[in-house]
Amino acid sequence: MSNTVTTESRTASNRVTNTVTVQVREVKSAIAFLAAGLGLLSVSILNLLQSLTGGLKGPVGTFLTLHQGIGPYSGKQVFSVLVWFIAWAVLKKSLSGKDFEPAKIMRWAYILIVAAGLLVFPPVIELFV
Amino acid sequence: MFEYFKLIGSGPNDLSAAIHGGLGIILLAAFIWAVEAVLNKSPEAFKRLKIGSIVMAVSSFLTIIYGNIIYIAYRAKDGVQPWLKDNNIYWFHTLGMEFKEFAALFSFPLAIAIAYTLFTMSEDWFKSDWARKTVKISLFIAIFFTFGAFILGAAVTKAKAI
Repeated sequence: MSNTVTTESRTASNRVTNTVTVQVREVKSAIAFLAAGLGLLSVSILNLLQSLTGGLKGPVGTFLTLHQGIGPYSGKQVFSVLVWFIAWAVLKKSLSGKDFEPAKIMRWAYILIVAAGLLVFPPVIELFV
Repeated sequence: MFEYFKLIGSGPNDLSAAIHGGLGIILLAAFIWAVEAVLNKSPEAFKRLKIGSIVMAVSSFLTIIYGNIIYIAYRAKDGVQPWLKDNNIYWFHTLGMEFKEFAALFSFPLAIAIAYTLFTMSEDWFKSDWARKTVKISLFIAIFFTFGAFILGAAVTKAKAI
C-alpha cells in the first residue's frame, strides 16, 4: 500500500518537474523572439529617425554611415544587431526562471515584428516625414 | 556545362549578384522545407526541421553579406540607384530597394530564433503545442518578408541589372 502511494507521488512529482522544464524552455524561446523583434524594431526606428532628420546627409544619416559604399544602411545593420544581442542577454537574465507566460511574451514579439515591418514600408514612413 | 556560366555574365558584380540570388533561392527553399517538417509531427520530421533551421540561418546570413557587397555597386556613381533616380523611377528605388533591403533583414533574426527554439526545446518539442505553433507562425512571417524581398530584388534587376 505505502509502496503504491510512494510510486504515485513520485510520478506526480516527475510530471510537475517535466511541466516546469517545458515552460522554462518555452520562456527561453519566447525571449529569443522578443529580442529579435526588438532588433528589427531598432532598424525601423533608426531608418525613421534618419528620414526625419534630413535623410542621408542629416546628422543621423551621417552618424549611421559606418561604411561609405553601403551608406547609413551599414550603421542600421550594425546597431540593430547590437540592440538584438544586448536585448537578448538582458531579457534572458531578467525573465528566465520567472513565472512568465510564453504566449504573453510572444504576443509582444509579434507586435514588435509587425510594427517593424510597417515602419520600414515607404508609404508609412511618408506619413511621418 | 561551362557554357551555362556565361549566362551569369562577365561584369565585375555579376558573380556576386548571382550568388546573392542563388542564396535567396536556397533560403526560400529552406523555409518551405521547414514548413513541411513543422506540419509533420514525427521525430524524423523534427530532425529535418533542425537541419532546415541551420540552413535557413546560414543562407540568410550569407544572403545579407552578399546583399551588402552588391549594394555598394548599386549605390555607386554609375550604379543602378542613380540611374533609377535620373529616370524618375521613384518607386523602383523606394519600394524596390529601400523597402527590400529592410524586408530581407527580417529572415536572419527570425531564423536564429527558430533554430534556438528547436535546439532549446529539444526532446520537449513533442510536449509543447506552443513551440510548434510559434515556429509555424514565425516561419510564415519570415517567408512573407523573404519572398517579398526576393520579388522586389528581381523587379529591380529587371529594370536595370547591377
